[in-house]
Amino acid sequence: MPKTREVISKAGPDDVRERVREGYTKVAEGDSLGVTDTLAQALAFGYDGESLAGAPTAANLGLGCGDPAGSAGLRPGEVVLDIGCGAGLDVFIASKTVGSSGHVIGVDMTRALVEQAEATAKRDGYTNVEFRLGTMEALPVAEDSIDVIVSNCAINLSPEKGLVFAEAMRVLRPGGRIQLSDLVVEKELPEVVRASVEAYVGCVGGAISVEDYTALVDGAGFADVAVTTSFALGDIVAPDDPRVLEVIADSGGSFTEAEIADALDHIKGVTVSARVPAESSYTDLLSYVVSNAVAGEIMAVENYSDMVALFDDIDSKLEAVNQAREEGRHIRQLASLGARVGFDVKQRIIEPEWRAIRATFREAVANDDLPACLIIQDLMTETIAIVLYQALSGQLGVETDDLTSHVAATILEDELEHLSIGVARLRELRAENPQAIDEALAWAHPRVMPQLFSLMNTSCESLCDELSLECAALDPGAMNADLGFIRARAAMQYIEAIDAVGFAEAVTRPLIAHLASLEHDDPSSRISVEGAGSCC
Amino acid sequence: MNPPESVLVTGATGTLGSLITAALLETTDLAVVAPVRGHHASDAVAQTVAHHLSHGSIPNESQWRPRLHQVALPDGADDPTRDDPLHQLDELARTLGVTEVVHAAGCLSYFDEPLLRAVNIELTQRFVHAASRWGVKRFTHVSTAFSSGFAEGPIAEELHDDPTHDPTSYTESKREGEYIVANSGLPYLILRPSVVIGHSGDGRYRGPQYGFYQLLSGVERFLLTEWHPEVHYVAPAGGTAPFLHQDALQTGFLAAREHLPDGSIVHLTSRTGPSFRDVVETMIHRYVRPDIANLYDHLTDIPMKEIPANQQAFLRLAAINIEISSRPWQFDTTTLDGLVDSGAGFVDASLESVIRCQDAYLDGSPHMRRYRDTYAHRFPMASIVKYKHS
Repeated sequence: MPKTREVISKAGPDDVRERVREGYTKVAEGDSLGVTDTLAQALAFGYDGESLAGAPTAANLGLGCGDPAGSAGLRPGEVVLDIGCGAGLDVFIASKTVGSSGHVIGVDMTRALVEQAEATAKRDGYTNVEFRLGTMEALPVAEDSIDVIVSNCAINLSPEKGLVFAEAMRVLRPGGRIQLSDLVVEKELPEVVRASVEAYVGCVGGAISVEDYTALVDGAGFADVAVTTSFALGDIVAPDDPRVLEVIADSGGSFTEAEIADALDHIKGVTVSARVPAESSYTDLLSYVVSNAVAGEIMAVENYSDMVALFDDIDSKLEAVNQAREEGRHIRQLASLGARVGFDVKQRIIEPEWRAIRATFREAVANDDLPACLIIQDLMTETIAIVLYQALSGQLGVETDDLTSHVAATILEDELEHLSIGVARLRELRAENPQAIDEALAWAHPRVMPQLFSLMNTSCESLCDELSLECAALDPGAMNADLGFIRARAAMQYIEAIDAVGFAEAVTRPLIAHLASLEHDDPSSRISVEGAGSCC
Repeated sequence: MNPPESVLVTGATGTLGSLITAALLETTDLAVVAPVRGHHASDAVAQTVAHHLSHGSIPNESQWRPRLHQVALPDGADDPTRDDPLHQLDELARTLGVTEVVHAAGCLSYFDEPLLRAVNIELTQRFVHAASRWGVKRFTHVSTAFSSGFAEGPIAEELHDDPTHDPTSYTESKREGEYIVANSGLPYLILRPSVVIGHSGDGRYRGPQYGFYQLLSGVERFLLTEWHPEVHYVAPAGGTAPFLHQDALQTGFLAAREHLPDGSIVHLTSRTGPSFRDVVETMIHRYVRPDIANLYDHLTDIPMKEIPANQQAFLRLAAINIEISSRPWQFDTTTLDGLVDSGAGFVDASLESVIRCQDAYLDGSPHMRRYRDTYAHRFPMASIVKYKHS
């Protein structure tokens, strides 16, 4: 009597999930799905050896097809969700990166695997991980609670992949991202294979095309969807591999070795990345702030370039060239940030304040006044830049997305170094001629500081128009930013910088008092009664 | 039918101008004409006035809104390089029957000398000329109690000679503005309010963060960011803090308008009330709550280099306001005393009413909330106050 074959491709979603659950329960109970060397298998599919070495061996069932946790660019403090976590390998890898301030949740519908993962976590003392029983089509996770979703060769197992991405969108925070490894097919598999339970459980039966995969992620509302193929299964698995033979036996089909090899060559590993679009009030504000930051960076490139001629020694000239190059790199980083997070970045100077500062700087250059140049660029502009990038990197109570925070933190390091170089140069110059340096500060302060503080609000002259933004709708609250507090920090930073140079107190006292009128200012209260705010 | 009669109030979007506008609309049948700069919303004055009047006797907008006329201040009104454009208001003033001008517009940007001159001097001059053309019955000029600069001894209710020292160019420009008004030939009244603070009853305040509110905002953004066991501040003993509740400004203005003869100059300031030290100590006990508060007589007595950076920045940034507020001002209040004797309901500040203003500001502050949430376990039962005399 012929064996009755179950045709999974015709089963309902719940039945498919049940067959998959049964298959993976067997895995938990010791069925290796034909994988003989899990470490070799994991390495072959792209895991980083170091990550694997740091993770519990028991968690590696050799079932992945990539290294999403290793390639997601995880950062300390992030909350990560692994969809279809199995015995928890990717969860444990992620837990090392996000650290004690972060958290990793693994979700799997197979109770035995979840219990196995929990036991491993307990045994090895993982405190920032947890495992939840549930399906990927109805994630047991709160909405807007996850920074990054990873998943490794699991989504192909879902009979309702559209629901999976809708759920991913629900649980991710605005600006959150997904990093998946999965299998796709470039050429449709024979019907008998697609009907095979073995093929389905083995991650190929349910695989779809790259185009369909992309359309699902797009359709769920993700932005910046990138699906790239990483390997052909045929490069890793031979046509006579026992796992292949088992699938073919289960399918009841009959294939030549060449047909099998061709099918394996057209099953590809893919890496999928995408992000949840940030809220528009947030991206509008970022667009405004980052465009202004870029204008400052452009000005800095010009200023440092101008300073080269003012230095006598070669080392200082080269250092100024390097500083100009670094500022130029910041422009590229910020422009790229806009493209990745999804906001417009203007790469030219628009607001008049920057032009005014630049004009003052050029006047100092024309006067061959190196101290004034250093004061304007390194002391004044850099201190404001430092506070700006502190804010964008998530300090000062400001909340930004991970990418923005990361880029800002990187730029911040350069700006801190520029400030310290400037302070050191000014101290040296002041040791030779204190009066000239003090006079340069008194000259530059009223020309530059009001302009810089004027930029630290959401009023604008024409940038909003250029960005097609409604100026009045720009809301610092979209980043939880308190502009008054940020101005206060900028004032503190500036005071610390001028103290570090050691200017004469008689010179700095009135300047700091003047700073108070800038620091507590806001466009609506510039003049108490008539109001001369410039908000457009 | 009598021709319409109205008061033109400049600076009606600001703190003093809006309070005066509200007081006029509430207590008289007069219309108010409010020229404001073009960038303001077309109902900017009405919005602020509505806030003030919502607590008053005519909360219903229909009772005052038809009498409020916000008009555009012609461009370049304070630009000395351009011809005086206030002529453009002549026709309007005639049509609306402007018989009185209250000039409350002013610039408080201490260090912006061109702007101070443009607004406090040039604009004053131009409104004086306009008022002359319009033949008004009186020009009321809102100056400041500090127009004397740092003069020694009692501050008289008369025009001031130049002092030895002005705390900022602001006081100098306001002093010059008074001379322009007094020498205009117009029937005039000069009001000199001190530091305007919130309502004596509930502490409410709507306005920019100047004076007392700059201090509170500084406390909020510098001292309430991190708890330190010791706090250093300037708070000399004695004197009366030069505060004026916003409702006292209104009653003082109305009484002066009604009862004082032309050519009067009146100090509007609390005659009794807490000293600056009382105010500082209260703020420290109620909000900052360090283990020890060191209070000095002068800013220069504070060992700046030894104190935390946030306190240092706060003190250095607030240096001018600290210098002004901690000075033992002795304003002559004979005129105000006379008005009160004749029944004007003027409320002097008390420690309790100042605390209400502090509370109204700081209780709603997210910085304050965060500070309490984070550091409440460090707060002592009572801060120890140490007075440091030079």
